[in-house]
Amino acid sequence: MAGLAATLGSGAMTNSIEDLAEAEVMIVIGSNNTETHPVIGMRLRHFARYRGTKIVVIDPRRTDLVEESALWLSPLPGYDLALLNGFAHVILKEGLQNKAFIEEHTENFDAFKSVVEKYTPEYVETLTGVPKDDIIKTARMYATAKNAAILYCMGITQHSKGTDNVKAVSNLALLCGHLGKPGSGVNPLRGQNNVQGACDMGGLPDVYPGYQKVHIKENREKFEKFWNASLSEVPGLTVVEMTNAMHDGKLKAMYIMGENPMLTDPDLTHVEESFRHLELLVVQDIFMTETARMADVVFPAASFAEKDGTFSNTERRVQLVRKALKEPGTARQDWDIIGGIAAKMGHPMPYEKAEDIFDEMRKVTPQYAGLTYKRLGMNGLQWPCPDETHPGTPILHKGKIARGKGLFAAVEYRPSAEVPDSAYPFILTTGRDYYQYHSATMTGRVRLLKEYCPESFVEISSEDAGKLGIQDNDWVKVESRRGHVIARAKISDKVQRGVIFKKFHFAEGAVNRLTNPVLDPTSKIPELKVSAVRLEKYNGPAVEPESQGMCLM
Amino acid sequence: MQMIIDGKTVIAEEGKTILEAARSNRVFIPTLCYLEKLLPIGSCRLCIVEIQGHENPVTACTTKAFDGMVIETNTPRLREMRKQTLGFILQTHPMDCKLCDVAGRCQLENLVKEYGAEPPMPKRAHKAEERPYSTPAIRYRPDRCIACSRCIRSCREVVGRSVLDLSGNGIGAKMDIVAPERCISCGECLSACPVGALTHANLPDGVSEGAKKVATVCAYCGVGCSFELNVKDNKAIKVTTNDYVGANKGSLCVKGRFGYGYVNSPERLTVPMIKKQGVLKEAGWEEAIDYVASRLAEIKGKHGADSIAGLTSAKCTNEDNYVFQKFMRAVIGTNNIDHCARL
Amino acid sequence: MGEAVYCYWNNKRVEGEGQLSYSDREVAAVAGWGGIKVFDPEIDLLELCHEYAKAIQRYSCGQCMPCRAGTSVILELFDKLMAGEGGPDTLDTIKNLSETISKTSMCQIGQSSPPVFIHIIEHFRERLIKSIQDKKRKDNSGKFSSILTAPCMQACPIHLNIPKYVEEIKYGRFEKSLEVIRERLPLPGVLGRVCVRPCEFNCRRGLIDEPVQIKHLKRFVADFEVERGKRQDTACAPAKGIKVAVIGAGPAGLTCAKFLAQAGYETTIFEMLPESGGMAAVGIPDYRLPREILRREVEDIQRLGVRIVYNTSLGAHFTLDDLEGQGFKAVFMGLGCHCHKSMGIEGEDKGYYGFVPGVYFLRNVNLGLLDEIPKGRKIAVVGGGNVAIDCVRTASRVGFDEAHLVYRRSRKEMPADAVEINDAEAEGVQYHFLTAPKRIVAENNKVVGLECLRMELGEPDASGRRRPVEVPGSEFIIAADVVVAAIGQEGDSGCFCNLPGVEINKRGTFIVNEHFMTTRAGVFSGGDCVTGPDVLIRACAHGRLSAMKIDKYLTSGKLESFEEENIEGFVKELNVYDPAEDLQIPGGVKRLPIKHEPPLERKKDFREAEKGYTAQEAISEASRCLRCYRVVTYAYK
Repeated sequence: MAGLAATLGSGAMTNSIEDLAEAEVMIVIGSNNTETHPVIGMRLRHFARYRGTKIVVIDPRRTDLVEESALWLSPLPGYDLALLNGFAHVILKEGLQNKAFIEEHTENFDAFKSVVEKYTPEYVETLTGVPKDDIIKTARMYATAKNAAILYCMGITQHSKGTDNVKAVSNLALLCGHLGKPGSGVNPLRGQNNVQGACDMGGLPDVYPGYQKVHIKENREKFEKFWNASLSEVPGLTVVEMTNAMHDGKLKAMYIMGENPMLTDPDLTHVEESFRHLELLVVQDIFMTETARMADVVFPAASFAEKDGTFSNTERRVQLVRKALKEPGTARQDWDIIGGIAAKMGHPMPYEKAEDIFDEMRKVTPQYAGLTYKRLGMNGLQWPCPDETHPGTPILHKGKIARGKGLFAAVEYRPSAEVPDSAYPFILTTGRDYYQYHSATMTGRVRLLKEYCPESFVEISSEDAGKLGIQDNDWVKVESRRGHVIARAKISDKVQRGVIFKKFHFAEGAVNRLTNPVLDPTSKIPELKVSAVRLEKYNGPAVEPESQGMCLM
Repeated sequence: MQMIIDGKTVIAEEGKTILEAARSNRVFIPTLCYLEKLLPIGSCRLCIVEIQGHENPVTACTTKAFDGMVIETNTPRLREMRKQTLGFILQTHPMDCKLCDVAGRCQLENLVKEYGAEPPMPKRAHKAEERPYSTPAIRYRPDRCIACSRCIRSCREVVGRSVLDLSGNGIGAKMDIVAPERCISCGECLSACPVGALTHANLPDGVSEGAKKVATVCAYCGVGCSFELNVKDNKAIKVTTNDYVGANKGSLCVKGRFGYGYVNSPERLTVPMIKKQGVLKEAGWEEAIDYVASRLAEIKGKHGADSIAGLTSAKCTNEDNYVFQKFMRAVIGTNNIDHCARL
Repeated sequence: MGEAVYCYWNNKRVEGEGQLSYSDREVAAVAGWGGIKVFDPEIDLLELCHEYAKAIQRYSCGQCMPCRAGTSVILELFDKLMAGEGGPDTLDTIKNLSETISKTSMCQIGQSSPPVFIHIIEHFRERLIKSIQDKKRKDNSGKFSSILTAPCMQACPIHLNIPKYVEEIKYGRFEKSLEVIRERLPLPGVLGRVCVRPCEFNCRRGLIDEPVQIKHLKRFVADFEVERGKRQDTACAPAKGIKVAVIGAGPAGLTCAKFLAQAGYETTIFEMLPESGGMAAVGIPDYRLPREILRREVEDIQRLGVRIVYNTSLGAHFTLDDLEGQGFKAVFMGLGCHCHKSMGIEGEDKGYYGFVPGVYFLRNVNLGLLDEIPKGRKIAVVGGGNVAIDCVRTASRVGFDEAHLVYRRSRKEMPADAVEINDAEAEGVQYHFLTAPKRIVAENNKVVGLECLRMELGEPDASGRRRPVEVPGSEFIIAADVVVAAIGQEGDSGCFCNLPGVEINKRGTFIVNEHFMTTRAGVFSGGDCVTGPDVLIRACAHGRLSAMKIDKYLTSGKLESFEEENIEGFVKELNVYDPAEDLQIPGGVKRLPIKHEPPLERKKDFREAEKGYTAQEAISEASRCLRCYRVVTYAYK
């Protein structure tokens, strides 16, 4: 997000799912979309076979999409930037860059050029383990395609240098002019159903709705006037910073609406301890989550099926959510609960229905200004949509990059914060499962989904398993500098030697007891994708009974 | 491009099939194997039409329309042929519509009624059959299958998994589950079935009768798929889709299509709770809201607004998020707002 | 010799004459798309109908409703008649059903098969009723066999199951499609580029608009596998521990070796050149067939365990007796025709610098021996076949500025592929039609030109083409630094004549029996060295059949015709492809054209001139196939 906003002027997906069909070549990097964004995964498989799209999968794991790909590159986790710079090196060396585009639409090219100078295919091969021929082949395919798109996800961003990774992705698109056309662009896939919307709405410590920076005086004054309140000029804390502030006693109260940080945050042992320091914890949710259990007050909220409102999807498509059911018991709308407290605190928010809120919001959110519930209809509309006659924007940067000129970033490869050593010789990387979702608060309560994924395994390559004497289904202990979990081993050809993989949906054996909370300095995203761990066969007391509760109840 | 369909001069886009040209001009030609999202194969033979100058009928779904074509879609000869073709299907397909979950919405049933089709030979006694499917979410009744291959082609072309295939030959050709291990329970096949051969496993026959469909958006991942939540007695009973809307055009994953059950869960929170002596106890709304409002005011007064933080949610609506951040900023007076976008 | 007792075929009723036989088998009856032919009065007509109905159900793919269910109803009705139930009125029901099914079915199985019953009921109703009423029925069902064919399949020398592999492409199952091709042909990428595609000239789609681009579809699936970097595994029979030698790694030898290895033989190929592929490697330029495509397919054959020994030629390095001594139990010779035919004109045998036969010209270019090619600016190639075109198109790619092609008949008589003739023209080749070479003009032992004569077309000759006649006094000279003769090839007589026990005929090719065995026991041969210069796909067909013959020979010591050979013989006489057929359906969907590299750029290097289809194009082209499968049921006497 932060990376793309800096280089292109917008952090969102540049294309629509539908127009990706026009891509001749697609690089899918750090995105196991078959499991995380299944319908996009289906479309990619369809494009690869029925439209002839050549897909290059870049992932340390042999993801499902590899089956339909023209090429699979498997760098060790944490080396993507070196690889991306390697592609740029080849493109420049062979003169395949789009000179006219660079001239007209970009800046800082020379600095970038001198940085990628040293990323020869040979050098990148020694760093990443990806054969140099594959590096050259990918670079040529991408550069010579009429339309080429890059898709990426958390495999790129959940690193201590995630922002730089994103910038390196954007460099490639700028270098070849693969932007602003159907099938050409840079596409971060957003994880949760309304991450895009939560960001758009200003659910971030440094921006008001519509990405208007809080530290800029004009913005603040506009909102002070509009909301009739005085606002803070200091950007707030991010999730992981909040945990640290709790731990240090600087944060006294926490209000959590529909989140479960007790499972999803890195270094859970630390998170749990920090929460105990709070004077007040308020949780608003639909279930009694791990976090809710620790709360001083719990409010029962409506689920999506009981709400009217809007979600904004990964393609910036704002869509109507409609109330299908009555709330259970006395549960109330999330906005209504907040409104109740606000009123008690002397700031009444007299909204009667969701649409009232939307209409207020779009007055101060330029990207949403032209959207109305009526216009959204069955198909929704893609922002930016500045006025009520605007048809929405399926493709960003058409004709002109949002930032004005695309900014080449001179970014260097740096090792991950934790690299394997003799004490912790394995790289642990994490991800999602197709049948489960995030902290499994919802999916854990659907019997069918539970049947499919009753517990979470640790995937180990057969080579490593052989060396450690681990058999399929054995209990293993995975230990990092921050904690340990015990889980069953699954010997798999999906991971390479030296790498182990675990999914993060489950409370029992929660992988985030192991992960590293070190943050990317810009985006403040924790390095969930690379932690150094050690692995051993577990012969301790049986853990079987506990494992039955694997799916959160 | 101009042509004459059933005596009417119509205009259609270049490169379209006769079926597309007809439908765009609101001429209805019956189909069973056709789905717009799939490559047309012309196997059900119901969309046959006659082209002037050619003795043999052709299928409208696989034949390109050309400028100046004179097309008949509903002659007595074509109707008779369709009636016989439907009759061939009825030779094996039971007409126990009263027992069938899709009764009333069944494309075959409607056509059989319209054409008055009957099997050409006396039928053998019919035995209802149920066979294990590649996913427990779907009930498969092979005796109702008409081998239109829409499920097979959906799985292959839309989902890219090829779990199903037609095996056998002649009258023995049946939809077969050839690669169950590749199934991802997305239910694309289920939504493609024109009859009652594939149905929701969790729904007894007839339950979905009278259900209300509410078009909404899935609450799982960032794709934001559109679907219809089918609701009866204030319970979500199933999810159906519309091939023509949203980012997903009718496709869903297992979570979207079968993962709605949690909203009906008895574990849902229904009343506010306040922790007293370390234990969460049920409380009234008034009490809980008063308590939170006064505690927040107290902490703000004692430690300043920045001692309070809020986590908003990527699962909640834009409206919820807007109100929440407005609350934190305008009421509490801090920018300490974030959500788990980064995780 | 059979005598047609009764016969109705393609709207013609015949009684009392005709015959149908192949080698040692004589056909008693056959039922197929055109009707029936019965040569044996003992044949029970009802039983023939019953067997044919069974065959339709067996071959019906089950996709379309009328064929799938309708023909099963017909079969049930015949079952009943066979069981003595039902009477002549059942025939009317069958006739009515047959009419509907044939008009409404999706493909030719359902369209062309049920009319057989209509013909029988219309023309031989009395015979059939007699047969129904004859209650003393013997069960002769074991006598009948059925096959599936199609015009394209029948035309293909190796009988690839074309409708099947095209249909798999239509469904996006490209790997399956390739598997179907590989069941018979190990070189899909090669033939997908250079086949002369007899199938396309027998494609029924051509009767309503244009034939399906079958060749390019084959290339597409082969390329798809290359693009994905995948390889298919072929299962081999358990090793038999028997050694078989294949001489020549050309299309015949490679195909033979593949099927031998698959049958479990320890197979070694001896190749005289440093490269596999035979004419496919050294006779076809890289711009038509990139070497890596050929090499990859050779690797696939090697992965089955086939060993290839290079730079080793029969005669010079080893003899047939040596092979016998080394324990090879059988030998297949696929030596090809690598020697050129002489033009018989003045100056040809003088050893002038600048005169070169086409086969050598191409071979040297293909082996990268550019120093061996005479240098110059202008080139004149004599001949009208594909080799001549290959030479004249290669010329610009090795540095000639001006290329001429001299051919004694007119453009439309040229045996070369029309596509190739046009492509060469686009690249700037100058054609001299109705022109015959008379003399190679040289100065100081160096070619400076080709003296030619104008010709005009006279009366048709034995081949049906009009014979070119010289125009007296029309001599003229085409200035050229290099003259290439490409008027035909023949076997290497030096080698062929000196193989003990192996006899050659007067055309200089090996004499083989119908089982591909030469006059020396255990030594088999196929491809150009048996047929004379011929097309690649036929060499492959010979290779495949020879491997099966060798297997039979080594396991049973006997040689006999396979059923597929017998069938091929008599089905050919039934004319699966009828160029006069009126399909009565609209066409108008032309074949998807092939994209080419720009002529003026491509003519300078050896990049592949034609581009392959994208997946979307391949699917759309494959959808044009009419799936003209035909069911044939037959019995021998």
